[in-house]
Amino acid sequence: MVINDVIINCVILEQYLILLPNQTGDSITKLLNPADPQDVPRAIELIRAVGDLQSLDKSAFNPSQLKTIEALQIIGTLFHAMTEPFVNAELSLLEQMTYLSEFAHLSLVLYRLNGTSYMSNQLYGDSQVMVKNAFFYLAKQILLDPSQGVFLTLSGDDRLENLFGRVRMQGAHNCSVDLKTLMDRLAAAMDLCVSTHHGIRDTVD
Amino acid sequence: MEHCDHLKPAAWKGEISAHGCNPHTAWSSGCARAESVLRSYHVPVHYTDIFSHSDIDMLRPFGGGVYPGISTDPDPSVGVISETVSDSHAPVEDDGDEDFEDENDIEVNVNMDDILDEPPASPELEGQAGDDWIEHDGHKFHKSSLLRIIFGLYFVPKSKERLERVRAYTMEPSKVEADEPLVGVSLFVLGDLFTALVRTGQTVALAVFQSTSITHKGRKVTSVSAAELVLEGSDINISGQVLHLVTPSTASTTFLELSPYNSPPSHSHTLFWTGDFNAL
Repeated sequence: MVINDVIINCVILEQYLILLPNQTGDSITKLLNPADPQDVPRAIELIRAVGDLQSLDKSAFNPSQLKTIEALQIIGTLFHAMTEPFVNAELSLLEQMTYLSEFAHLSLVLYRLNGTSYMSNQLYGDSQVMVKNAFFYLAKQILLDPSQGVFLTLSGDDRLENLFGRVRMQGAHNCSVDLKTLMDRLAAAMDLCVSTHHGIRDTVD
Repeated sequence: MEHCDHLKPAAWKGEISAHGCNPHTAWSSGCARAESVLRSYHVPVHYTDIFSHSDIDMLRPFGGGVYPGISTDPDPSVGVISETVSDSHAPVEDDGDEDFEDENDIEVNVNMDDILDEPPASPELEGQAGDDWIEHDGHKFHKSSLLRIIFGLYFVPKSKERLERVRAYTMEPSKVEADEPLVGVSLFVLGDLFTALVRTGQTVALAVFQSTSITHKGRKVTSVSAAELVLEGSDINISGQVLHLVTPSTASTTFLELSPYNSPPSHSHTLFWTGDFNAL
């Protein structure tokens, strides 16, 4: 990853993360070398740890370290703005959307300066679409019924996964479907969501 | 309490009703925050300038109608599905949807043309067409496995787009060696400066680097012993970024760049780093 002309790689990240008061050598090794590459909570923890670098005291660094730490702090701010709206349950909707907008704007400039060394084209496109969709969701809800809440946490694919699970469960060993069967099972899956008081949005346990 | 990747609406404590949030306010205050953050880290930025071009937006950062990360090619996975759908739907009677019917016909015709353009296959091959296996020199080979081997990484039965969107982790975690005692040993640490001769074309120059990675016997490490570094047999690779150095000029305030064409004046041995890195 290249930010502000500075190369940031795993080893460099490790060197600076260890300066954080709440990190130890072991905890950083675990964060940077997850046993399961799809361990989402751990990935979020790593992203938040990079976000913590914003608060690092810079007074004791030499100029070349300062250059690196500034690049890391830009990444930290970027990651912080990206994850906070989805993981910090204390935020109001306005704060969430402001963070997302901040992320989109930061990302745009970093991408214009560093291109794919900053982020792959696909990841850039996807992350910008994520922000755009969140704003579309808000605008749609304002038109439909502004008194209702906007749950950004629902814009993930958890709901889709649940629905898929329920459709698949109905098939038991016969899980392949044609269009007609799929329609029936989808309808039944929606009934299941409602009748088990889970709600389609899984609002109640 | 759910993990942070499965938060439920009930767990949210902040005020999130839609009327409490004006999208324009959120958007512009986010923009202002991004601008002040980048300024504080010495990245010059003017969002009003950037967005003054009518064809630049978040999804098209360079304008010109180019959307990064969005492929204009048809999704290969969708292509496969539509083919099988058109095949399996052939015997189904007309459902009265004229538009859909027409679209399907066009697709089928295109496929027919493609097939007709190909040279006729040999009779043996045609005989084997319905078979998953192909015979050669008395051995049987699985056709799709052969294709996968021949086309290697580029032959992916499902949509390749999906995987490209995940920045890869190295599957094998890098082996981190136990911290060696730091006392009494002179170490070369990641981020330290070093000098090396650099050749570009016919020109050779002395450059000052900041190290960005150290590889010792094929492993990435954060430090190596300085004594080992000078040994010829030690298997250590160091890569780094070239510092952009300037000499302070006594006569004027303009800086002279240290480059092969513009050697530093002999009366000064002090070099200043501009804070930037050079590309060769």
